[in-house]
Amino acid sequence: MRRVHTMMRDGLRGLLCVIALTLLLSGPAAAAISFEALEGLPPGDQYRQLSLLMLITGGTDPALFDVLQPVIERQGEDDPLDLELDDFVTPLIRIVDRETILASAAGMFRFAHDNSAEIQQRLTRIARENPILVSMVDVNEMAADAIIIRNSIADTIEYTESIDAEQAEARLRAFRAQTVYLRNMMEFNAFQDELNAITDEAIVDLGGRLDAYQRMFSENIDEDLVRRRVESAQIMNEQTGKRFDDQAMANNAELLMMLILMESQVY
Amino acid sequence: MAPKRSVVLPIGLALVALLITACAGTARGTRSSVFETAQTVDMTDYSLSRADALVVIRYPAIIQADAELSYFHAFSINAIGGEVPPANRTKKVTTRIAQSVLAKSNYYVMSLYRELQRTLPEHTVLLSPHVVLWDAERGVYSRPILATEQIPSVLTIDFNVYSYPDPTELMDSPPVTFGDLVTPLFTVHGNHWMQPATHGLVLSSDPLLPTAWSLSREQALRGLESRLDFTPQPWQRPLDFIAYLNRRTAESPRLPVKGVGDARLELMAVEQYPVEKIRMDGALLANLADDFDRDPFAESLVRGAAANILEMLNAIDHDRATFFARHAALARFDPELATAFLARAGGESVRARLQLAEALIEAERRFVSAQSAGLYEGAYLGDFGFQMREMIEGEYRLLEDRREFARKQNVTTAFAALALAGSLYAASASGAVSGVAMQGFAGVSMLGSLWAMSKTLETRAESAQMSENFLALIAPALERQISVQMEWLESQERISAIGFAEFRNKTLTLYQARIRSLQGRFEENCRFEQPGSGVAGRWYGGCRDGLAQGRGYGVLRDAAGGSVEYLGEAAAGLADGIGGMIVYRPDTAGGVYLEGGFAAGRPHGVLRVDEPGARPQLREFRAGREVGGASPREWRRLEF
Repeated sequence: MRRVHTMMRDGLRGLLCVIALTLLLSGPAAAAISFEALEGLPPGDQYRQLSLLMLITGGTDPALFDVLQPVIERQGEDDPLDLELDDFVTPLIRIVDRETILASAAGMFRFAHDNSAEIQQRLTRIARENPILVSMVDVNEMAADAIIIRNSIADTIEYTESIDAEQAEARLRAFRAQTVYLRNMMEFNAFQDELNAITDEAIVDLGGRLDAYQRMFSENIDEDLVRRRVESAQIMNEQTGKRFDDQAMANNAELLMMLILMESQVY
Repeated sequence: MAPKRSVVLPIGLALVALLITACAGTARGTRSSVFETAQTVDMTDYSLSRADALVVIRYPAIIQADAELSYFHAFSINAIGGEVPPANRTKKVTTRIAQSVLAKSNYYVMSLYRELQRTLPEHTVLLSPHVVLWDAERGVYSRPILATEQIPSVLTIDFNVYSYPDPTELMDSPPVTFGDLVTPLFTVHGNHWMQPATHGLVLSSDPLLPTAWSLSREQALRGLESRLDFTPQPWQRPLDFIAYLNRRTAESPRLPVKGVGDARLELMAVEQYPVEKIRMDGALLANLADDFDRDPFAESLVRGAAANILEMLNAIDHDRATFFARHAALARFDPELATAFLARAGGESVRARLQLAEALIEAERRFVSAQSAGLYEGAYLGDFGFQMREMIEGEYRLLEDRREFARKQNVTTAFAALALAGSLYAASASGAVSGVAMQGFAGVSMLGSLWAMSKTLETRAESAQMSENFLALIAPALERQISVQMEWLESQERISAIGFAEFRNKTLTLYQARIRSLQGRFEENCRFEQPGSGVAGRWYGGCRDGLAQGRGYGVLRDAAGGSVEYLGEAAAGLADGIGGMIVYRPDTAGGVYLEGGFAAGRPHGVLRVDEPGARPQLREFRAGREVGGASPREWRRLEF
């Protein structure tokens, strides 16, 4: 399983932040994020952008906007927040220019906060209309990306001089706590998957041995057992067609559950 | 280890005894159980934990060879429904009846399992078969074969059927399980925090009540002591029925009891279930071997009993009922987390680790649930179940014949049964019919007994096969260390069942690799005190200067044998804030439970007070003194 905290310790941290930010901000949703801009993307990208956006901003105290307000205002003096995508092409620029990153982050927070219900509806709709695409989405991978970006934003806030450190301290602590919570959820999902695999295997093994013992003591073919096997096979075949739909909706449900749990945390 | 024998191995022989015994209650049996008054209800589970089972069903499944003699002896001495004369206690028929009780319990328990499983959420009903053992120190006792009882459960049901051991006491119509007659014995219990006034005992068959009470009390005290000493809790409660046979507990003078279903969890008393000889619907038994879609035992008793269990589950606070069982389960593999859990410590590090640990217990529950399903398939749907149904159908036909015979001869059915039993027993013993009472019926009864004998011999042959199949089916579900000798192969091949231990090793390895450190430490020697007790107890939770401070759990025991348990807020080593306290005194039957406000170790404010034999009351206290009644709006409850 990917261990985000380990990655954060190694020397690749800055690079990963840059790549992650690029992923997020390189589309039209980044600088001037809007539904209109997103609709130009393929459904899979839309789903990923919106999911990532929600995971990055989920559970954020609106008071954090106030902390970022001076940055937004300063940015406004220099540049009226109509950054073009090209401005983000060079990752180095974004790393160096902390205030630009924070201004963009503020835009993301506000957009996500104002459109939370609409975004979740869109996510569900995309999952329903494109089950194969969404069934292949790895929610945990997205969560891992979101954690990198959240940490990057938190670090940037901490080291940006124009932000009142005292005012930011409590908000930042809450934001980091939310990030830890997201990490723990992500790790739990991976743990649960592995645990389920072990349990399922043990149960199957148990049943297999039971059947084997049954056969040992029955010279006749157990017609009932054969019938049950045939029925099981039929059911499995029937379910195959539904598998993508189910997986897509399961992924979506997992994502939404993460968001709901993050939102339900006290700031 | 001495080889274990299937309890069904001698079932054919036991039939002889059962034929005799069953005839004792030839006709008389009740068609409606006291459980039938329960309404069909849906179960609502608001529990916060995913790890818990709702019901664990314990029953006697097999007996170790070394334990048989002691078990037979105990069975004859501690008969339910009468006293067996010493001369009759050592007869072979008695031992066969004792064996049949175990064999039939294996079958009938599956009706209860299936009915509860049908109604309750998946994987929440688990079976816990016990093996009956003996040693010089403990006498006859039982221990679970599977790890079921390590899974936290809201309720635990002890179930078995019963037959009176003495076939000569026919005219008194003692309890019996034969043909269409079934005499079930139940106890229902949970953790003592669920209902402290009765040590967690909810329901008990009348004859088992003193034993069940004594066991529940011992379970509560053992748990308390283990937490006081900071040691794991090794004590395993034996089956209440086996404990009853081992040592009949002296009647306690005034146990708080009430009728089945009366003021459930409102009146702090144990529901007393009378000994019922249930008569199942004959129409469902006439062709039972081929048509068992409608289970006659379920129709006449189990459905009502299951509805009662559902009502109990709805009335119980599940988080409260399983709190200490969850602590014990966590302590098995993560003592550090168990202490944090008992202290009800908050924080993301505890929450996240608890989530992993509960997932682990949930996985174990799924595994045990699969084992339970395997047991059900083997004992009910498999060959064992099929042949047991054939046997019950045969028993029923025999019984009907005797009833018909009684009608024709214009005698009471019991008397007709006496004739059968006497002639059968006499014929099998000496080939001669004896006894004045039998002389008038000798011809007819001899015919009947010969038919019965031939049927018995057939069944005896079937039963040997049945026992083999039963063992074969049960084997994969047993713990790794339990291996079964496969007698039918006449070889020493031993089959090691797939182990729970193997599964647990894998899951624990995964758990160890994934957990992160807990933030915060808990002092092991933090003191909890109680005004007037003069001793210091142990506190699990926040600590300041060696004294309890903040949220946590405290326990102490005084020199006189009284004890106090407290879960809630504390200050300066004393209960202070919102909490729940159980006070046990050696001279009272149950515990007194106080929940609400405390100050300086004493009740202060509005508290709920539960006392044995009384309804819970809301009372107002000032510094430990009761000053009057109170409104529910003023009461602040303890959140588990």
